[in-house]
Amino acid sequence: MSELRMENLVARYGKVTALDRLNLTIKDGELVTLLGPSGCGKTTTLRSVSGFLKPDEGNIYIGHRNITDIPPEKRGIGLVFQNYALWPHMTVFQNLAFGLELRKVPLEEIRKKVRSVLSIVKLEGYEDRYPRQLSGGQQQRVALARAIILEPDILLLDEPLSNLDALLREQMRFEIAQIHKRLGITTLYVTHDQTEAMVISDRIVIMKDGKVMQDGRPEEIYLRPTNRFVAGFMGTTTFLEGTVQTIQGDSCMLKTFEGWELRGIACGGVTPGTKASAAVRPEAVEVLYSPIGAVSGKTPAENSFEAEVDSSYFTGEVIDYHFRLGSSFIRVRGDTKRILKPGDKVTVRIDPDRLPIVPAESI
Amino acid sequence: MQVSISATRKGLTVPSYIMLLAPAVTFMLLMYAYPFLASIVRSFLDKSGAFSFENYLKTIDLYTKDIAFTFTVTIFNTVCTAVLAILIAVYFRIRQNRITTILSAIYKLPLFIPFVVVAQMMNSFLAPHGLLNVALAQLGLIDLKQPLQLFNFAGLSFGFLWKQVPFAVLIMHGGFQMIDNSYIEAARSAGAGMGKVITRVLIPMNKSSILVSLVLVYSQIVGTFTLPYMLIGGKIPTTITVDIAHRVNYFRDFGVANALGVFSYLLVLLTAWYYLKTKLGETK
Repeated sequence: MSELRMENLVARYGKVTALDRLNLTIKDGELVTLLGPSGCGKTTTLRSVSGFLKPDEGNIYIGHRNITDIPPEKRGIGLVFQNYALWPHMTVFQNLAFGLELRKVPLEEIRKKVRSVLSIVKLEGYEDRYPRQLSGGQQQRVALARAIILEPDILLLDEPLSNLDALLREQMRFEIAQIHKRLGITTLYVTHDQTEAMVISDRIVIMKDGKVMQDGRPEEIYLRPTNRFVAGFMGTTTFLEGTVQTIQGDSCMLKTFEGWELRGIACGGVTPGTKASAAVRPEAVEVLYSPIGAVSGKTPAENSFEAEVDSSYFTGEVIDYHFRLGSSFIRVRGDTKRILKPGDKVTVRIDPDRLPIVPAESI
Repeated sequence: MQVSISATRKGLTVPSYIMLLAPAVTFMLLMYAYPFLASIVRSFLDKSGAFSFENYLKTIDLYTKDIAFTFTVTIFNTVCTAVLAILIAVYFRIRQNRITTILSAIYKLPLFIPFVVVAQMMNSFLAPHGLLNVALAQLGLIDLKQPLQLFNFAGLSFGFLWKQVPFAVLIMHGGFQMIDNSYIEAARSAGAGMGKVITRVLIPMNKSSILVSLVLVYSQIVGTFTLPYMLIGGKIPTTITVDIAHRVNYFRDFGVANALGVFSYLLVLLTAWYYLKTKLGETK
């Protein structure tokens, strides 16, 4: 097992900088996910580590070994592809045995290893099948098995679940997480699916324009985003803009441009007097189903506002509402037992402990 | 109106559908099956029209060397075409730079040159005092008084390769281009160098188009007349096609010509059998 370290990686495609001085360390046995929109540099990072792309600047280390100029076949890296890339003319056994044969491992040992790895990915007895005789999920498991059978120092997974249907994708997330826990291989995982990243990662690295926007544990990334991009990328976020009034410890008071006061969590080094954005997520908004003056005759609670239903969408589990809050909109999820109509007035309360307030300027 | 609807309904019956195939089937039967079968039948008839092995006995007596020569030339050139075309097509697949762009435009030129023109070109290029010998003499590699004699197996093979390699590359190149990079990268990350990637991944994954191109190359070489006729002519050994022309033009001997034709069918049948066997194996 080994640590993977990237130092000042720069990769350019013509005039476009795909990686802009990327520094990233993945500790021994850790599973780190690169997450970001298309073109953010996550696949370029993965291709640089795998050796299929030579970075213009910087170095890549596995442990103390500088692998920047080492060809892919000598890096000791296992790779799982989005399209599985199982060789169609080989059976499952031959696909798995390929790398071992190149290393001149005796046939009996190859057989033993293939059996053992197939049991890890729950495909015992599939040795003689061809890839075309397997379902998408089974093919993905074989691709994973082919990568781990060589006991690589580093495992790279390039959007491995994106070709699977939603149900299978959800199941495979947990399986990959479990296999990683069992084997403890240092793993770099690339995806654009935030839920996938949250479920399987020890750490998530959010990227944009070849730079790291934030690097942290999944809950940190989600609950304490350090900038507007991360706050907007994670979850279903709508923003309320304003100026920071006060900061006490973690707590931050924001006065919106419409004059409402919002308490939330100070994130990303916001300071009093600066413009900031409150990242409102549906799960932080409680719907009280009555106009603000009618709520138990009490004075309005903190972070409570009157809102008007603008539109609603039935999704099955919940109703997805767009509420008008002054001139702004927020997304809210409501109970299917009580359906509001456009034009209805309600009171909403935003939980201050789940309301990150981040610097307004976009990075 | 009623009649027309009824006619339309009648038109949808199964025999009508079969009738739609009739022009194509008739064309195939008249233009391909009939001459093919007729030549086989006539090869077993003597001059009086009676069943006989006389044509075959004569063919074996006179042309065994030529049949063997045709087979050798065909196999040799198919193998050489396979090796060269695979190397070139693989090179085009794994290296994408300015050189490959230029080469991939140039290599197609021989495809647009008819065999008769190629034969004439080879005639002047490979002649005892042709371009090749003169060039070699100027480089001091040979003496023009003793030029290389290339109107034989070597010259014929040079001509065939010049014409057939680009054709094979064209078909193989398309197949190699269809192979996604991830298959190559998966092999390399498993520890394979480029040699193993080519032999264990690229060639097996493109087996189908390699096979098709070589079957076509083989069949074309067996049936080519102009190149051996203009380079070797009636010298011994020559190819079956030249012998057929000789029997017909000089002796009006269609019986032996047909028997020679049957030998060339058998040579082609060999590849057809191999091709079908492989394709059926793939389907299973």
